[in-house]
Amino acid sequence: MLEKDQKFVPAFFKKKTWRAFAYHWAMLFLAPFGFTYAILTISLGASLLVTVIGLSVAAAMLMGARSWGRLQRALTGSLLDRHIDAPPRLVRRPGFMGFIRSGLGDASGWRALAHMLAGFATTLVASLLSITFLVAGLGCLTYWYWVQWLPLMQAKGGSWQRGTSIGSDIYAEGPTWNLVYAAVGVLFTFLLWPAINNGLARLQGSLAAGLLGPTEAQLRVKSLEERRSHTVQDADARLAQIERDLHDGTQAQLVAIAMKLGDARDRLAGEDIPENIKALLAGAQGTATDALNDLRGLASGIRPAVINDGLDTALESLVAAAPMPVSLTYSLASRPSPAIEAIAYFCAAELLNNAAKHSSGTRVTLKVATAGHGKQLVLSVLDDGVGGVDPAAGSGIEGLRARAANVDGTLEISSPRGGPTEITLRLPLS
Amino acid sequence: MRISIAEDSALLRAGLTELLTGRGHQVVAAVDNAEDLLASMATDVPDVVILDNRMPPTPTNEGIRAALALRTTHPGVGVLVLSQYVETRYASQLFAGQPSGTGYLLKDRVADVGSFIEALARIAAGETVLDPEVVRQLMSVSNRPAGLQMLTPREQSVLELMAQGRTNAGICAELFLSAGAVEKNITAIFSKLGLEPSGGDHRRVLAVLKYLEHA
Repeated sequence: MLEKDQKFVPAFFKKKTWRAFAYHWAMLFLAPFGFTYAILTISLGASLLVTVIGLSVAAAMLMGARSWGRLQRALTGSLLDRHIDAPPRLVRRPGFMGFIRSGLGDASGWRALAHMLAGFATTLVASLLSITFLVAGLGCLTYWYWVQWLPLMQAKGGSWQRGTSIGSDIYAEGPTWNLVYAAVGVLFTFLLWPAINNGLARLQGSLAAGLLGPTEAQLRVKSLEERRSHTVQDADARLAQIERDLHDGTQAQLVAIAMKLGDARDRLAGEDIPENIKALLAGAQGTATDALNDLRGLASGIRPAVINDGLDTALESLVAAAPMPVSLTYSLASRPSPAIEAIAYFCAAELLNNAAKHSSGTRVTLKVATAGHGKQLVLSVLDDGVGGVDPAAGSGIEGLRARAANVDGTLEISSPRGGPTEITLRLPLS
Repeated sequence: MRISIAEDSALLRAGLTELLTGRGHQVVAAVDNAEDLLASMATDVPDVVILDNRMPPTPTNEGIRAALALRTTHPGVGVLVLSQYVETRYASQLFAGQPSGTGYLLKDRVADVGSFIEALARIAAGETVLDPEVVRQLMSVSNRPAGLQMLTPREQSVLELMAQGRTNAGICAELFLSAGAVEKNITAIFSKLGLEPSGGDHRRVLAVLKYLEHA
């Protein structure tokens, strides 16, 4: 509705134009600060380059430059109606050197710095042009009024004239000139200024979008991450479906077979029939029961149904069936996604199994908690065994690590010779 | 016995019905979900209800939840929950508080027709039936409460059989013990678990539940 109503309103009267004007002013005040920051970052970093301190200062200032990006994106978003996606969050590597490396290696920080430098120049040009055109336009438009305060000047012919001189000896005075000025004023104010003002704002917006948004590569990584996340969830859902189909189909059929064979044997128990027939029936029932047991193991290896009832329930059952004493502490307030629950469950199962088989320990502590302000699930398995776990020795640890990495999770091992062994799985909680 | 069945697999529902009616029992309702079964209780109350644990809509532990609902609405009716897997959490939910007339068995136990019918009869009579697999898990090292650490291996095997619902005579036969020896073991178990002499058989159930509390 609004769009339609404003269609025939000159650009001068549109809100959009004045918000772009406000943007130019805001940039005029902000750009010097950004420029100073950028120069400071470069000169401090360069002058202290030989020392580690110089690198860390530069790293910290580059990380700080991201705030400039945030401010600029907010400004273009609110005043220019141009939404710029934020670049991916900085992943800070652990340790002091990690801090330096992640700061100096942050493309988004460097690009924000580039915007401070380039933006300073473009802002000067853009704001000054816009302001000049508007002031000139308004000046011409009101010429007829303020011309009366111009000083009197003597023309060559000796007459006293008031008004601006154009060329030699032509003075803009009188109604005709007032009209000419007014016409020029209208041209500047209502046609040229809005076009220049808005066009420059668009260019400024494009510069911000180009330097402060995500890059092609970052967008690609994001889309790949999204696709991978879909794949992981899809695979998990498919496994759950297979397990359900086995439960509703084959397992039920096998139970029915075993039940009917049992029924037949029970009815024939008192009858006078050859022993070998009875043995045949007993054998068939035994095979059906064995198949059922095998299938049960297979199905729970695919994806235990009990996970559907919550990771806590599933882990409790796992701990109950463990071959050694396990104390379980579970402190998640809400349920993770099904795929995360499944990964956490299978890791716990494998790690408990390893602890029982290889650690020679007597007790295991299994803890599930959150970290990083609830953004991370941390599952740790601690045993009091002999330690010395070698991930490369085919203990399945590498497989678990790969499984965790599928969702950007990590697996850390601390297992000095002589123990204790603590293995920590970290999975993101969205 | 008069029996109601809730089982979502049509094959098993029909199989169970045939098995039970073939032995002179009456199947008063055979439905494929817990809600219909609870609704059928309004018109026809059976002696015992057989519930499949995993049924639509979720399908996770509908059977356990229906069993708990039945305990409050129909405390006199026996409830047997059948499951493809035995989970200790489900068992502790099911047996918490008031365990009499309740059973929890692996689905394949129905193949042993004699024991299955006997288990049904025991549940209908108000006894407790626990699957040996649950008992095995509960007896496993992880779940041993303090009192249990003090039990001798012999006492543990007696308790295990007790938890499966065996009578003293049954335990005698299984462990090749005299009736007096079994009696002695049971008394030792009760005292080590701190169960005061009260209502005879009830203590047997309490002894089993001692683990469930810690599961």
